[in-house]
Amino acid sequence: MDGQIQNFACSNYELLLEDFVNGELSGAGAKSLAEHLKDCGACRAAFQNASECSRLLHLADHTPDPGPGFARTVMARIRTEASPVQEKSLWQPFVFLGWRFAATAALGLVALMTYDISGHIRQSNRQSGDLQIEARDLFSTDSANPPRTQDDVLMLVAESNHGNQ
Amino acid sequence: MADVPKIVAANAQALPVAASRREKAQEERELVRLCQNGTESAFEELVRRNQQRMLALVGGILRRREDVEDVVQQVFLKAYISIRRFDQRAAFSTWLYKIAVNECWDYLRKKKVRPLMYESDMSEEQVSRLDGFASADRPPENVSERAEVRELLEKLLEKLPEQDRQLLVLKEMEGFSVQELAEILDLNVNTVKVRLFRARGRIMDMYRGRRTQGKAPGV
Repeated sequence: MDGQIQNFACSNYELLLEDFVNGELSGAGAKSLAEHLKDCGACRAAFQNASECSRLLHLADHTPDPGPGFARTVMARIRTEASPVQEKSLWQPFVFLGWRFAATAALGLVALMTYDISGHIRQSNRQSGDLQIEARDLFSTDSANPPRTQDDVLMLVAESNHGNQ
Repeated sequence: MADVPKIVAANAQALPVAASRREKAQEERELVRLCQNGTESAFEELVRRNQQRMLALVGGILRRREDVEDVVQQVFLKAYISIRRFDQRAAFSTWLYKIAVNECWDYLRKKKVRPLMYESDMSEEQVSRLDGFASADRPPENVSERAEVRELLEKLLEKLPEQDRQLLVLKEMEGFSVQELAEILDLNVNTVKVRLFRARGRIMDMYRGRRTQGKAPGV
């Protein structure tokens, strides 16, 4: 019977009893509980039970502080596993894609410019070669019969159609 | 720690004894702010200040000593990654406790284990050992005896429903306040108080029951 009484304190006093066990009850609450405890054996027994339990459990040590080594281990793990104080933002994939696109575009541009410049160089090389050939053609003479007079020269130019042949 | 701003270094020395709760909270807010601005050493200071209670909390839920440190490290890692999202409306420690509780449930779910269960009931010898410690009414000074008391009490608490056991361990053995427990476990303060009170009654009934059983003739 005793055990049954100990299990059940009056439900409207349980909160006050718990505060009392924790030493957090004062004023009107404490007065009201003290009055009640005078008359209620069940609550007295429950209070005694709770106080004994508290004493018993306080025999156990708190978990000890692991010391500064633990914090260092945590920080080392953070340095290995987390990026520096930056969580992944929502835009990060888009930013990454943007950079990729920009890099590809820049590469393409460089390739195009290289191609264009080399084309220009090739073309100008070809043109200068043609001019040299044309100039040579224009003024090439039959080494066997070089023009002797001014008229011969004019005739030669006229025959070669002013170098447009 | 070289780049820790002056406030952190100075407070780290002055804090343990003198500073009031409000000052501590203010410093913690400042540390969080520094950390959000990228000061890594501020986070290390936050770890140092909270590591013991975190180990107590996670230990109180998991009770597998070999896993507790790993889970606590994981909790700090998660806190570090998401600290920029923390708006400081609650205390940093409360925020951290919630991450820890979620991490514990995740861990238990992934590992598909129940929190550690002790195989057998307390033996008569163990009950009388605990009686001996209880009658001395102060924690034993010897380290091995202290460990024994802890183990005996945990065995005794094993008989309670899981949440009641956690409440008692965290409140009585680890020193968490009722308010903190309510925040951590998402319960109403009054619910925590009533549960605690009833759990105390239950555990003492069991303890007394084991004692009378042990003392009964022919048992």
